[in-house]
Amino acid sequence: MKEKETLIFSGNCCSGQSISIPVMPNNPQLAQAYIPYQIYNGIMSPMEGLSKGTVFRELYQPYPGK
Amino acid sequence: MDERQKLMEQIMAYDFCMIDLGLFLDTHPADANALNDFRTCYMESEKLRKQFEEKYGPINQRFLPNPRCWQWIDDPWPWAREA
Repeated sequence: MKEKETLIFSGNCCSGQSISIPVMPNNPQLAQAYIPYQIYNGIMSPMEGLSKGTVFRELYQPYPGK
Repeated sequence: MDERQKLMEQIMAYDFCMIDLGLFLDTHPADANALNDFRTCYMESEKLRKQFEEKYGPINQRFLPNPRCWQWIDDPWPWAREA
C-alpha cells in the first residue's frame, strides 16, 4: 500500500470535519480482527469489471481452478 | 454480437461500475479520484442510454411515451438477445 492514511468525514456527512485515519490501526490489540482501509488505485475498464465481478483489481481474487 | 446488444452491454458495464464505485464511496466519500471516475461512468451511462433509447426504444417504463401508443410493448424487449 502506497499511502498509509485515508480521509474520512466525521458525522457521516460531507459537511462534517475531515479526519485522516490510518489504513491499519497503529496499535493493533491481541484477539481483535482488523480490515485494512482500502486505498483507491484506480479501476479496470467497466467491461472487464462486469465480467470479473469487481472493478477493483486488488479485490479480484478468483478461486484457483481444480 | 449486433449493434444493439453491444450498446446494451456497454450500458450494463458502466452501470455496474457505478454500483461498485458507489460501495467504495460509501466509506470513502472524499476520494477525489473515485468521485471523478464515478462522474465519468455516470455521464457515459447517460449518453449511451440516450443513444440506445433513440435507436431502439425505452430501456424501462420511465420514458416519455408517444401520445398515441405505448412503445414499451414494441419488440424486442430491452433484455432480449435476438432482434
